Amino acid sequence: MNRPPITPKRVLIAIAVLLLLSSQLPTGAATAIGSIPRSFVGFISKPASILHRMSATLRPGRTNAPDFTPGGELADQLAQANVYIDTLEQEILELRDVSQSLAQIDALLDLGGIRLIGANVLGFNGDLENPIITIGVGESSGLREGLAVVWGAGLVGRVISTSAQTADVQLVTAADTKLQVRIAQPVRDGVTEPLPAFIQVADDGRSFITEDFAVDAPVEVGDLVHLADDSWQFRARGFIVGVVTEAIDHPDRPYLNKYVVIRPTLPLPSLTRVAVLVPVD
Amino acid sequence: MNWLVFAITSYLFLLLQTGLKPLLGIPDAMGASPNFLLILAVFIGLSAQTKTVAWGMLTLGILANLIPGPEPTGTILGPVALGYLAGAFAILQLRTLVFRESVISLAIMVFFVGIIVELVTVMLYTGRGLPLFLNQPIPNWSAIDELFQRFWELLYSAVAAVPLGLILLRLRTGFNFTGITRGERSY
Repeated sequence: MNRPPITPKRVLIAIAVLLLLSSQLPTGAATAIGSIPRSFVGFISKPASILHRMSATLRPGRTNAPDFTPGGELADQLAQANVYIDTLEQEILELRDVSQSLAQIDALLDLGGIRLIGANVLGFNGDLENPIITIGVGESSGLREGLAVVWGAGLVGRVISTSAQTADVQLVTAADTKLQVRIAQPVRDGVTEPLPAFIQVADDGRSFITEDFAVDAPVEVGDLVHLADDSWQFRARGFIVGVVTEAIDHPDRPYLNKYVVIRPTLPLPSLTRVAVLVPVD
Repeated sequence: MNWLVFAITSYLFLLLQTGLKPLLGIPDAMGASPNFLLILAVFIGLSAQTKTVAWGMLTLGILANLIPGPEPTGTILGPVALGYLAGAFAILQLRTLVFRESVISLAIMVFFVGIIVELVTVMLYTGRGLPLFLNQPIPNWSAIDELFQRFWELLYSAVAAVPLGLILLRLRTGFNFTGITRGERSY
């Protein structure tokens, strides 16, 4: 019996059919197939990481550094008085931010049962709805789906898929993200308790909003928003989701509620290094 | 075509694609950024021999498909690769109409072939959500929003194709597009 010859054209058609089937498979099977070639992305990990770091250095994303000065009146007076002093103060605030982040990392390192695995960021997919960064550690370092990813004291996102040497991390600003949080003053006065709240990603995909607070709730610009969500890894709770940048009367319910806008403290797509919270089993 | 040069160039363009988003995104890293692999694919499509175009563009499509897409749980292999394959078919129909060694032609073709690529890609991703087939829509997927965002990326890519095209055109001899392959006659 004569078999039809295998020609490049037939091979191409066969590949196209296989790709079509792959693209319409159920999600679990499709991602399992896709993870095989995804492993090859490890080949570009080192130069891609360098290029990404260079890009982020040349054009760092906006950092919403929280104002740690109680009241902030002194900062306002200084800004009005002298631009030079204002610049110096901004630098001091940023350094205090770094200092507090480092202190919180130290505190976390003291906790048992968790390892912080550092990773280079290999790339960012650029998708506003489903922002994903790829990092240069994977299953071989103990990563698995669902682990929280942080940098400094800030929450970055959650591992959604892994290969041997890489992992994809969905940023916390992905569309439809809803988080249970606690909003606290940056400098505790010992009297005001952190306020529980639900926040959700705003339509712009770059910030969170919450509309639940009563109009007289003690939420101020500069307050820090800490993760307190049961659906996240236990050790991730307490990491900073963002800082309150706007707390105004609700446009539709001005005498009832506040409209609070929260921005991440980290320039999430431009990060060059992250750390994964891996439980020690 | 010299496949070694193609492989090295593809590798470099994949690096650019994954590494330069924070630098080139408009208005920020979340915004539109140029599609380097599409630019290279259209350059190959314009310059390579007919039987090589589909293989080259399919390879680049699979590479582009390895970059995380809209599905949050992982990479779905197929939609982008098939989009590039459709782009290869389109470019073979259109390339007789343009002057191939011009960066302006490259930029225009990046835009028009990109439309085909993105339409097919978005169609296949959208098809996953149709109740007739799989009924597993991608979370937060909106075909209109995707097409809108991809339109700006295509415009940006077309602009970026001009300087990149100048570099690629200088590399034409290295690609050996007119090389005689086995079984081909020269006159």
